Amino acid sequence: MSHVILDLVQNSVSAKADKVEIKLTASKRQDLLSVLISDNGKGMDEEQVRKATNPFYSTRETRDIGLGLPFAKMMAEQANGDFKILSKPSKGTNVYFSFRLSHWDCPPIGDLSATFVSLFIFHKEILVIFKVKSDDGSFTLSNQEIYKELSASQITEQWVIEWVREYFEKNLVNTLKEG
Amino acid sequence: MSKKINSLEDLRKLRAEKEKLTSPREGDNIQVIVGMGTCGIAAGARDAMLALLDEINKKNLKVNVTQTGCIGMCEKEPLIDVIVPGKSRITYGNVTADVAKNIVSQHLANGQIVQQNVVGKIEE
Repeated sequence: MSHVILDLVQNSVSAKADKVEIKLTASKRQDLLSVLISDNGKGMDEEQVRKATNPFYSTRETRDIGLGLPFAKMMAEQANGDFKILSKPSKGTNVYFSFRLSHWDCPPIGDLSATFVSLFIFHKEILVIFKVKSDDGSFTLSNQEIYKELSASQITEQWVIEWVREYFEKNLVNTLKEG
Repeated sequence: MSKKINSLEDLRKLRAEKEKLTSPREGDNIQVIVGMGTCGIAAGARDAMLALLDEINKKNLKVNVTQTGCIGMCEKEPLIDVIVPGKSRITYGNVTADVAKNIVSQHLANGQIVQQNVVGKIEE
């Protein structure tokens, strides 16, 4: 699932968003794993929203195939979850999808910290906020608060990547696991 | 809640330490572009990219790493482009973490192209 999140945030970036918020909830009590990705990009009109989950539609101009959203929808449906897109032109897009935690086909969360590191390295100009919530805790982390501590050339240096990874792992991933 | 073991304060300290140690790196600014479309991500571009950065840092090379979307060779993903100034632009396909490390140590560090993974070449 960490790959799906990375992929959908890339969509937000292509939609010229400068703020993307990723909310992850894992709750054993509610038997729910959910992801909400909200951006302030250029958004979509009703027609585009309707077409967005068709694998043979894409806003890209090179080819007519886009698979990010159709994949997310398929995975959610396979695990008895929900899938929704709320979007308005020039207002941005919210993509929500969820899974039943107990379902056979509930995807593993995967390497979330690697997803964060990828976003951290490639999208310096965008505010990326990760929010994680479980039954007994929550944690928030944004890329910009880390950039503040660093100079631009340091961002791709190994000690920074390692630190970010560890920081993310210890806080966000642990919060999720405890849920 | 588990104890938060490190914080931004640690990062500040770490930065101060590192700045004492490292001098600015000189270089000719090689550019590496990683394909991060749906196909690339699904094929493992994220891991290839992290392995790439890991190796670049180990070798202390000055390289610009950027990303792009799908370029239409999805079956050969993960794809990585290497642009060494003044040389042909090389596109590598099926780049696993190990291949990424090879590309760094052979191509970026020594200028030797990793032939078995080349899928395209644009002459300078």
